[in-house]
Amino acid sequence: MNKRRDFLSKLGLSAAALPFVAGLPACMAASAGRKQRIVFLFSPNGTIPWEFWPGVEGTDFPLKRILQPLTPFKDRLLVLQGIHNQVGGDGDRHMRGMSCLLTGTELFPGNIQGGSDTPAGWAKGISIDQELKNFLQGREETRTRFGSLEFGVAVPNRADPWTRMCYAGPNQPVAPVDDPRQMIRKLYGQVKDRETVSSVIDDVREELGRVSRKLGAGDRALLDQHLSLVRDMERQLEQAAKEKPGSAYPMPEIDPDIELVNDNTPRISRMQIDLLVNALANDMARITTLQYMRSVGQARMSWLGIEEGHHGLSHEPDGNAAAVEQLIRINEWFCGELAYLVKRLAETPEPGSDGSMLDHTLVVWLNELGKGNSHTLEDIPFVLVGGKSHGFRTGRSLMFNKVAHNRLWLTLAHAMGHPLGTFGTAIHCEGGPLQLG
Amino acid sequence: MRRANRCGKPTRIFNGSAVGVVHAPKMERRIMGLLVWAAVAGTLPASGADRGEAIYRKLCAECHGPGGEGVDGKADHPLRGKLAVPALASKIERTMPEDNVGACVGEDARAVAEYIHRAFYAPGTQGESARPRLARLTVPQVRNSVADIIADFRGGSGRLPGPERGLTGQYFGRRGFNGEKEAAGKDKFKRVDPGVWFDFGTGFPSLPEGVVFPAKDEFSIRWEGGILAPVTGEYEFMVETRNGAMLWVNNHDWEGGHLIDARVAANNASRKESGRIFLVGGRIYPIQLEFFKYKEVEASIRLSWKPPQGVLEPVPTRVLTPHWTQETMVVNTPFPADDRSAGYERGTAVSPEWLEAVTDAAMETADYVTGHLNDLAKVKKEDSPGAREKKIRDFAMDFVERAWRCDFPGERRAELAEQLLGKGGSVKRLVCFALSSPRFLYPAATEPEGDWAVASRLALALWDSVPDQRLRDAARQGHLSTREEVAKEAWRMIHDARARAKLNGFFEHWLELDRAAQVSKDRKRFPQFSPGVLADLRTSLDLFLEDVVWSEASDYRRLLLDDGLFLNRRLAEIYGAPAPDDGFARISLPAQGRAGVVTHPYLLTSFAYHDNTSPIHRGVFLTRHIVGMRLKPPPEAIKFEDSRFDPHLTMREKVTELTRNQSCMGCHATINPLGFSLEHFDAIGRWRAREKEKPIVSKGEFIDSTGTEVKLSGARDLAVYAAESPVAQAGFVAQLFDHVAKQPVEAYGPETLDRLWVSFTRSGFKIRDLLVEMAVTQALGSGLSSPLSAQR
Repeated sequence: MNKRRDFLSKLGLSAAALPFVAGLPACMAASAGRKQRIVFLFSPNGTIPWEFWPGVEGTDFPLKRILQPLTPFKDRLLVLQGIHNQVGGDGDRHMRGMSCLLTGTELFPGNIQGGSDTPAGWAKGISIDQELKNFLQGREETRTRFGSLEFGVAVPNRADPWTRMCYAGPNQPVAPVDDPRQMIRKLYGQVKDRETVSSVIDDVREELGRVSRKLGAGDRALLDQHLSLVRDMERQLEQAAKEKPGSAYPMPEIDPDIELVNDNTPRISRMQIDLLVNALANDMARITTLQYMRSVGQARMSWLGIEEGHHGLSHEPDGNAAAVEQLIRINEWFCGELAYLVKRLAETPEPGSDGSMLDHTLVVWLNELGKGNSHTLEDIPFVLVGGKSHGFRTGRSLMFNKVAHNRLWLTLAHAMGHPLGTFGTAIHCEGGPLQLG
Repeated sequence: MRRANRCGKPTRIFNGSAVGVVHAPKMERRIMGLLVWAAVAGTLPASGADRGEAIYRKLCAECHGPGGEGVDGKADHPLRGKLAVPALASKIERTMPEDNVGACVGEDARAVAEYIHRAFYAPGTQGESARPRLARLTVPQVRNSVADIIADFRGGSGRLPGPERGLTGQYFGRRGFNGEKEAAGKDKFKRVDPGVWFDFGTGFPSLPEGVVFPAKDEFSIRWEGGILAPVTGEYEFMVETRNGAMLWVNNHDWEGGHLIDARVAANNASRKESGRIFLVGGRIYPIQLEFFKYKEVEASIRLSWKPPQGVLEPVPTRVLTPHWTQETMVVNTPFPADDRSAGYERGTAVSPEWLEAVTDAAMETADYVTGHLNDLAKVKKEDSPGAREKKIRDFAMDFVERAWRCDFPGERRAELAEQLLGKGGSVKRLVCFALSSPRFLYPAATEPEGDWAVASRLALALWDSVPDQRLRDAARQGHLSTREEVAKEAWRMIHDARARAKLNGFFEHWLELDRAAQVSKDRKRFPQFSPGVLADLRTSLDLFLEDVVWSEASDYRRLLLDDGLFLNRRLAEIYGAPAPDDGFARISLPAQGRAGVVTHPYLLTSFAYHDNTSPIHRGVFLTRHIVGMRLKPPPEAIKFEDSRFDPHLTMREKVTELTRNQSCMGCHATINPLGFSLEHFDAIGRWRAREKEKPIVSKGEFIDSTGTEVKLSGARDLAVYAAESPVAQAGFVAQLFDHVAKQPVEAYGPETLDRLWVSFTRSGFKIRDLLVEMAVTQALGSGLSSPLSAQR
């Protein structure tokens, strides 16, 4: 039931009066009136800290090379240093980095062995994206068709603790969809197929007519019936094209012949981002994740002229200048994709409201490691973008003192009107939400 | 006839029944005369013809219509059939007119019989029916065609598995599916396992001599091979393990194409993971199962499946082959069922749902093709963009040629490529168009007559599919012009898994095997019966049919007369037979009077009530399918209500009571004695001597369609009659033909059935030979009588 509404009605306030209620906590006011979304964007294998962190706190901070692509949105950023993934237990750091990232809790003991430490299984708890999705889906005013959508780019279709960061519950990893064609089918069902059908239907009709003319009267009846069904279908398609329910924004064009291969990653990435923005614009979900590759991912970024695999490179020592340079460019590329996403959100007006979609969307950039060659889970490179409606004060670089990342998820939950006491392993929640407002 | 020239003979080979009669041996000739009565009768000035017609108008036409076409609400079905005049007269005498039996007897009945036989009753008298009707592909034909069009780019399909069964298991002493190369394989070995149902406890698999696994708490196994899907439908696979496992079925994408990913285990706890996959029956699909144990105490793995209408059971050895096989593209799109009102699936109707399904299937295939484009078009990494484009264009045009069962001359091919792939075109759109086109969906409407049309019909007849590469080559080179050439191809094509699948489809219809889906039995009376028993019975029947048809003799008569059953231990116990050592084995049961399919428990079980036999269901089945007679629907539907009868009565007594009415006996004079002949077998097909303390009475007699009275003392007498009676044999031939051609046999001329029957008898009733003969007949038969073929 809607507790907040009950609470207000006890105060004698109607829902219509809501926007004018003063003095409510920022998060509650925000969650009541305005649309709020979160996009989690993951890229793997750690960053190069000295080309990532601004090194200073406050509103006056430099954007280092890796963050350069976000220059146009500097005033919408929160760069959050000093946040650690403190979840311990079974599994190597890549595994924990990935599967404890959004869950904030340990892995089960299991049979999957990483590069070090003990073998492990799946995470023991739900991830924050799924938690928020369940919360939003539980309330009529924030319920959407899907609640959440899990996008992927070049994610290998193997289920293990390195490839899954979203969990519907203990032992229940959620697989991202890394095929834009599959995603468009999920979002638009047969609408897309119908377009292909529409484009061949003329030819089919002509063929039917041509064949039919060669037949005797008895046999022609069957083909003529077929022909009239095709005409009906054509009419229905035309009708459907006019109506397109729920599509305030037309769906993006997806190359139907695109192959899911490494070298097509840049194109697939843009397709997925376009689809993601489109799905949000059409309010199909309020929570989305976009996962690039996986922890320990070996993407070969040939489009950057880099032929060596990403994970292999990330193991190189700091003294290997060539490797470091390539890693900077790899992370720059990820940031560029983030910037494209942000740009798309910024230039799309919020449907049915003021401002842009970026005002109503918080984008969270994630990584499973702080740094690749040390495999540290400290200083995870967290960046938040946008989210005016979440009540955060942006355009700042913040440096925390070794706080557990569980508290960041608490902060997000509170901002979304879901004031959780703890999330994940309770001990890591001490201190409560971070002050970002 | 155009065909005559192509066959290289001066006249039609089977120019009416006369030719057949001349060559037939003496005994056969007599029978032939009977079967071809229609043709002869039509040419004779039948005495009393006018009188017959007058009586018909007076007594019959009110219900049957002036031309025997039927009258709604009175006689719904047209008066058409295969009875000879004496049998027809006898039937009229005994049953007609329904409200006044006895008003048309003796000479009158004979005159009416002669009249209607000549005017409209007998095959061939309906001018318009004596040719194939235009039909679309049936649903199985669509699924098979799409699978084979794509398989052709990967080396074809349909190869029969070798004799070896089971899966190849590779065992490794480490968790990562690799052995130490230096140690010359001392930590790995290979063997064929009958299936996957292992509990290794805390130890290892039993290691062959000389093999040592180096670590005490880890090893891995990879099983691979092929799995036969006996029928079309959704299969559920289940992996049960304490450790890590991954299963692939019909997917060679090791990176992502798995059906089950159960690699991650927690706390060494046993768990079940399952996945579902739709498979087309009669094909072998690649299967691979990977298993590993790592730093865990116990190890176990079990692979089970639940086939459509089956039960969850360990995947049995008989469906596994240890050899590698290619993946198949399977159309998953659900289709509305084909029309089966004539007793076989045929593509005689289109509907909005069907069009939608066809469109979705085309789209699904297009998605598959674009997802596997490099593989199908054989694009290599090192190919330049130009080379890639050319390969894809070639592939796309090959695809269209295969789907349309033709080849385009060079210029036309280039022109079409431009039209379909030029500006704005994509491979996806092209595939979608190719499969939505009438050229794919109506093979008969679009074929230009010639070798390609012959190839197309031959592939449909034997495989329900498109021509394969060899048949396409034969067509291209003009090697399908003579009957010998076509027969040679047909003989090649019959040794193929698709021909078996086609014949299995026939058995499905002939024996109404889908009835068993709804079977359940009274638990008190049949406590030993379960869905598992029913599944075993189906296996038993399938093994029997395969053994009969694909043995050297391939003898139709054994289908009816074999006194044995294929039984496993569980079935042997229920059906009173000695238990076989292992799996299923054929066990002879002469004392029970078993007779092939007639007394197979699977059929006896499905043609029965949940607590008792049903002589009516059994009798109807036997009448229509086994002794080759026709029945019309009952004039009024009467439900058999057991509680209405004196509980001391036997089933035979109850049925006799229920159907004693004159209007029932028109058909039940045949149905009942046939059904009663099986009364020695209870509702789950066990032999019994008594019912309710009374000895079983299985005796009876009926008048067959030649007017001969047949006396039966039990099931075997009936089976012997069906095996030896020309009418029953011809009935079998006609039903098989329907299934092969998806057209009634009459459509190929009044003499075709006779001719096929004669060749059947001459071959020693070889089903396989009959199938070939039918396929050749259909392939060389004229296509549709269209304005175009009329011009030729």
